[in-house]
Amino acid sequence: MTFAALALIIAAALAGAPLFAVLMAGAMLGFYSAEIPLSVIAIEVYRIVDTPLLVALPLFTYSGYVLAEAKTSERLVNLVQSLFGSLPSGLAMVGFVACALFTALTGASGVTIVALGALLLPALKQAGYSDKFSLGLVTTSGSLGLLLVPSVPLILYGIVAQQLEVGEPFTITDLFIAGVMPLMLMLSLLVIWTLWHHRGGKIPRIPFSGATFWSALKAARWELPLPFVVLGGIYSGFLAISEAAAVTAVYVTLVEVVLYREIPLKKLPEVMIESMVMVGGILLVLGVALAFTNYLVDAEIPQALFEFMQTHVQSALGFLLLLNMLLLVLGAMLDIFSALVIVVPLILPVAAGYGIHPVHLGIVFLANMQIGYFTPPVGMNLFIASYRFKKPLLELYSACLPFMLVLLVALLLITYVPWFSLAFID
Amino acid sequence: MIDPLVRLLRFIEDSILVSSLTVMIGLAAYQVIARNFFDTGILWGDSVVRVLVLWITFAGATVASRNDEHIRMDLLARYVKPSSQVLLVRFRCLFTALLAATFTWFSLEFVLLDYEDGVKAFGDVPAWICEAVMPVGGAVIAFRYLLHTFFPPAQVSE
Repeated sequence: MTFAALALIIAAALAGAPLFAVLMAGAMLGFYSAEIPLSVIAIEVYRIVDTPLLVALPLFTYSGYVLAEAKTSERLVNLVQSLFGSLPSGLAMVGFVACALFTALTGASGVTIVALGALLLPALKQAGYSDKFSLGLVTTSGSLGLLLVPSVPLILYGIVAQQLEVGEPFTITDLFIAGVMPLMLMLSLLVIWTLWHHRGGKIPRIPFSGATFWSALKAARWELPLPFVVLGGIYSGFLAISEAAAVTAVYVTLVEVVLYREIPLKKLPEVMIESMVMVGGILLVLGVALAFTNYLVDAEIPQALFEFMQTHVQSALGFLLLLNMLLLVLGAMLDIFSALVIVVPLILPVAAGYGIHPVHLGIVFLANMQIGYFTPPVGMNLFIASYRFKKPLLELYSACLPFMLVLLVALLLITYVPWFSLAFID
Repeated sequence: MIDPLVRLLRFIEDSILVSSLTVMIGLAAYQVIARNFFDTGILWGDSVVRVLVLWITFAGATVASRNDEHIRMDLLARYVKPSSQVLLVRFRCLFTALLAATFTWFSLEFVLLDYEDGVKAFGDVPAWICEAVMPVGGAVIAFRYLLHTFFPPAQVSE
């Protein structure tokens, strides 16, 4: 009976049933066979109300949608280009930096490729970069910035991991600080590779112009304080994450609706609804996942998994290597939210058993997912880019490959040198 | 017959989403300013904001059900030939409708229990008002997926 129900749930999952329904079915089946009253599901979902951190999610997502709707991406590219454009391979660096910032602000939902890619791709080609390089850059950079505050997956990992209460205790700010250096590492390696790839001055440099810089700066004057409010407020500890989210939401609305007037007031409800549908989907899955996780912990499944792993893999390093391979495959198949709520509750207790710090695991996990976004054959960003730029998937596979190799090197370093993630954490 | 009902439902969902988010942004921002600059703040402000997160969750999830736009894993659907697609969609929508209905039932039980016991969420606000969005949202989602089962939505391919 239980077996048949399990088979049905798996079949529904494979057929593409919504994740919340699949997790709910799993949790209900578990609670039912443990003879726990099923109204526990409602109690668990209601715990959304007891998680103050979650307030940040709708607020940041809304802000991201507003920014994506306005011409923020254009001003961002112009500004960063006027700054870095004069350096060798300057525009490529512009691409990396702008994409990372934009992804952090908007969440890695493909918005970066749609909004920034459309600007960057023609600009890159015009500046003399090859088709293949330009395409690879905009596709792979669409998930760069996943490790930077206030990226939604980063916040979600914190919520799920703290829920589990295993391994060393950490604050959500620890997690935010931990993401900075690994992101810098990725950016540095990408820049080094880009410079080497275009060595010998193949790409003409645009001389720095004070006037251009000034006008780009002036155009972006209202949005410029934003990164400082968000990053500065959170990293300095002056604002709690949900407070920073509230300030951001008000500020962004004021700037885009009143000051730039790029979003008419009449259009605002539409943007709100669009963003809240996304949030509703994520939070419902999270709420149900909390119940599912609770069942897993009750049933001592992570422990069993750990004991099984320990008979086969002795060292933490071996475990991490295995984990990387598993996550790369999963990252390409599952979207990041599914992976977060299903995989983290299973692997975090195991990782903690090997003495791996939960913050380090989170960074490794997200770095894997970031690469998963453009891992052939089914990484989500490949489809978005293929659709957006009207390029066949095969062309995108080969365009992304070198970037993927560079980021894999970064991933290996992040995985095996915990220092990158933990250097600034007590 | 069903059309005006669906339109009314849409209007209600949209209104809940927009007003919840607006109140949430306003209240949360007010709290930040009041707390950091004037050392005050509304006592129940943070509680309201957190309940609004739950309301947004369910209102947003019902809107996502309109066109079957929920987060999914979707491993098999890509490889199924178009002629079998409809069957697959019907199957997964029925599955979802049943699950949502089950959730509605058990969350209703939870809400009624708190109603009978007179549990307060914060201040004088009864908990059942805050919680009611769960069975209501669950019922709407179940209704939508039941509709999808009989009238499968056009497949949006990525």
